[in-house]
Amino acid sequence: MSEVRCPMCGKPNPADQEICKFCQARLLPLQVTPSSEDTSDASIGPGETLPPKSEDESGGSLPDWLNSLRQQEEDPEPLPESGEDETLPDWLRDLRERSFEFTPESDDELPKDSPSAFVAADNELSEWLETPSTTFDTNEDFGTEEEAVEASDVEDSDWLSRIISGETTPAEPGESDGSPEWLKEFEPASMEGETGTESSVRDTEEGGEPSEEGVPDWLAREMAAVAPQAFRGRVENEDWESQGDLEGDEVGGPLEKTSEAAEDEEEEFPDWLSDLEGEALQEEPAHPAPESGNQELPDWLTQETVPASTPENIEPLEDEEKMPDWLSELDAEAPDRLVQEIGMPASGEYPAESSDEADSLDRIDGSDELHELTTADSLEPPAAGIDEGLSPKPAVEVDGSMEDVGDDLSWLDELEAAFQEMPSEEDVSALQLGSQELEGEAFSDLEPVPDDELPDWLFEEHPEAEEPATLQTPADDEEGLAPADLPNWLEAMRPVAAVGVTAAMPDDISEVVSAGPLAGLRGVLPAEPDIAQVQKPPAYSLKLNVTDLQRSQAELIAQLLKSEGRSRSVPGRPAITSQRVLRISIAIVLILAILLPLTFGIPQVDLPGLTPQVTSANQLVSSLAANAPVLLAFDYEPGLSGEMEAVAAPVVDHLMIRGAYLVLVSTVPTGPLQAERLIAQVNQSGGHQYNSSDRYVNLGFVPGGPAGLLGFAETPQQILPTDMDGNAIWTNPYLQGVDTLSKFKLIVVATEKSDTARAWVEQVRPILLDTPLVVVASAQLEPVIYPYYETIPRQVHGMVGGLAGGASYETLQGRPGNASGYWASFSTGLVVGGLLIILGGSVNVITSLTKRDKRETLVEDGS
Amino acid sequence: MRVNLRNLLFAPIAIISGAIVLLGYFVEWDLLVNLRIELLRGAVILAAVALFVGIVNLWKVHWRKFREQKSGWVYSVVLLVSLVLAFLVLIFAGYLDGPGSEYSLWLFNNIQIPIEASLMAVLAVVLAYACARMFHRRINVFMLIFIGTVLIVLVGSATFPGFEIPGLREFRSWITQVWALAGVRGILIGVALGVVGTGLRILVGADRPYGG
Repeated sequence: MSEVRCPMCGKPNPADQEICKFCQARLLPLQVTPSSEDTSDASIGPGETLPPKSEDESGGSLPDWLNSLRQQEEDPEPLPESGEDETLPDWLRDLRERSFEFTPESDDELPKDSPSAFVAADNELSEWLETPSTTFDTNEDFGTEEEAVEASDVEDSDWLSRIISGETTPAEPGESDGSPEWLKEFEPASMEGETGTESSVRDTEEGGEPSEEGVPDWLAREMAAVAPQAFRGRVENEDWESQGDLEGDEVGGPLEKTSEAAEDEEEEFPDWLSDLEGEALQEEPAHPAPESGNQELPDWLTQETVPASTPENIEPLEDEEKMPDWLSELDAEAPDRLVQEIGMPASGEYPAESSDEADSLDRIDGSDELHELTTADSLEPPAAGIDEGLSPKPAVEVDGSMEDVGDDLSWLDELEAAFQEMPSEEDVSALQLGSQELEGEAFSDLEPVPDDELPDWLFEEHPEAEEPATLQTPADDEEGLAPADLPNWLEAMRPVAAVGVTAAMPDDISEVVSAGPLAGLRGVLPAEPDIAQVQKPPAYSLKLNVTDLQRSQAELIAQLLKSEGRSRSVPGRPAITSQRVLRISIAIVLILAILLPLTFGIPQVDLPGLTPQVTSANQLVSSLAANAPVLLAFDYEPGLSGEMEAVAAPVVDHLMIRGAYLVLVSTVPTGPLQAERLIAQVNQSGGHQYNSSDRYVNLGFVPGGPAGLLGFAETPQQILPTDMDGNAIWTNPYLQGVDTLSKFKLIVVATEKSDTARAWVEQVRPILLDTPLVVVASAQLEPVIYPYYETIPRQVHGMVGGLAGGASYETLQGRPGNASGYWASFSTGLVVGGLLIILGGSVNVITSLTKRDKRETLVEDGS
Repeated sequence: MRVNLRNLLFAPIAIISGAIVLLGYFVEWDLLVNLRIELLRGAVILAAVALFVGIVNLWKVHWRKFREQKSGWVYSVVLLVSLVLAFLVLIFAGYLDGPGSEYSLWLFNNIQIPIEASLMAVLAVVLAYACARMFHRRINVFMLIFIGTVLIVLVGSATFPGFEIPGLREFRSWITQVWALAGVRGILIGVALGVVGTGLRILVGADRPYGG
């Protein structure tokens, strides 16, 4: 007994069984009885061949792959037929056998609720929908949801490219969820009636991993292995973009012819079916056909995208006689079964999703992906990533509307009606123009991909692509030709990953190897790295390009910087200046004023008058007894010896006159010699015979400042036990009993220093008790000592101050000395000095005022 | 804590010595007086030694300057030569005829006194020129007072041949014996207070001029 394998579950069934007893799938295809008027030429039965048509009638309007099939039809090969399979074309039977090589182990493995279940149920639909079948590798598994999305994107590009390529059939208007709204506007309104089940099926199909060119690899492999050559050429074409170009180029003719023969084809059996049958019989390789099967879908398939049949819209099929029986049977049964299997809702129940779902069904009908679902692997339980949306809708909602099987064929009528309502070539052209306008509007902000980022294969492998200009301007005689130009916005939507990878490859890698064992391969890594390739470094010019203005400014800055580091020559002082003249003049005048009285005695000035302090000093000296010990201190510097000797000389002379025993001491290192010098002068000037052996003793220098002076004042014998010569003086008869300074009869201190005078007054005076202290001071020290003279009791009993004091003292003594002789010069010098200060001050005032006036004048002139 | 030996040793010596000498002014105690006298003698000896050390230091400084040929080294050579000559003359002349010998007085009378006296003579010319130059600057009240006082004191100190400016001497005496006396007394009182304060600081150890 012959058996028939269920196309859905693959289990054997009796040959007379129409419905699989296991899965309730229909085993025999539905046959549509053509009308009587079309039976002669339009109907075609299993094993029948369509009458060949002239090239002008059909071949020119059909795609190449259909033409190729038609050519194969000319030489059909009889195929064996047997049983119920004889009702099917051999190629379909062959394909069915290949498609259902997978046999599930049990029915339990195919849950009806699973996607595989409804896919199996949909297999019947695919049998009449799909083009000359391809058998898919059963090892291909469902892809993940992400891959499905990627595949959906690829499909987007496919139908978009078809639009651009000028297909007369709007095969797949925006079907994916990710399609922009403007693209959805291009969807034919008829697509709104499609069900969500179809979309689910299509989504399931897209589980395969798509290739970079938009065709999944698995699909490409399967199509290359199983599909007729016409489809193989489509798969082998890698460039989805160039597909559009090529199609535009190659399909133009067939499409035109198709439009021309459209009326004839309505009356006849569809050419594609005869082509397919012929191809299946001959199985001869055809020349590469147009790539996209969806694009090259026959017109009747494009009509399928028109509102899907729903139970509500089912009407009696008027043109059933136009279709083969099996096809009519399939057409009538498939939607019902599909609805029954997956619970497809009636049209309008999913209005929001109908668009996408209709697109998916569109894709199913033209692509071979649906076969994947019918293969054994596709019947496996779905992957975890399968969306729940793939689960069939509850059949309860549509069960009521599916009862009438005969009404199922009404959707075919709708297909045909939609075929008539298909947009004409003008509509397609308008659609294309509209898309170009939208390109400028909706994608004006898109940045076009520069040419250098485009892969090389876009320019190299398809020299036909260089002819879009001729393709974009369809001739009037080429009706229905759409320019195969890819708009920029669509080019911008190309898969970026593939372009990026290719563009990122260096040139040397992307080049084809020309020699060696890897000759002909592309993308081979170079044998030596670039760094090992020694090449001469490029020579760069070191000359700085500057303008004349920049050069002049740079030179100006250089001059400024150079001038800053250059020392400015200071003008030399003139040999004769006003100040130098003034200084020299003052010196000369002073010298003359001093020398004139000394030399010529001119002018003769009066001696200064007596002062009380000089008189007191004179009286104290005069009160001394002969050989009275008198301490005479010489504490002045040699520089002031001229004034001090003139002042002290009359006092010393007076002491010598009085016959006092002089004890010389000094708190200045040069003091002892000053004392010796003064004694010698007074001896010489006064005619005295004072010598150190009997009339005076020079104790020398008392170190220690005030402390040494205090010590000497308290214990002179201990501080200075000997004189400068080392002789013991305290044993001298004039100094016996003198163990302190208070034992001296008079203390005369000749000093020009205020500190020394104060030390004597402060440190020695308290020890002196009743011993008088006379100070012989310089003119500058007189005001300092005077307060001690004015005190009561007086700390200084007498004072001879300055040259005036010495002259006065000489006047008192009646023995003019140096002080009187110097007084005229001194007095003249003081007066001249005063006059010089006044005169010089006046000159300086005048010069300063003159310079100030000149400066102000210059300032005023400058302003 | 870092202990400075100098403070531990010198400060007590300075404080005790100062206190003893100070008390010697107020307390007539023989031991204290004798102690003060011994301290003063020691101070005189130390001052003499310090003077000698000073002479040695002066020699070293100028010798180093001459050896290193620093700027002004010629003057250092003159100083060193003069020092050596004076030292040798005083040693040999003093050994023969004492420090006040004829050779010593010759050096003093013919070298030292003329040099220092000439500097004082130049000072007179410079002071006269500086007073005249003062008018070149901006004239204010204080400058006029200063110049006026100088002129009055100078001219008032002099005597004129055959005549006398009435009131000038008296005015000069009034300035020097009233204004100048008042100013000098103020200075002396200030100096005395400063000395007392310094002495007290040294006595209490707050000020250590000996270091530490």
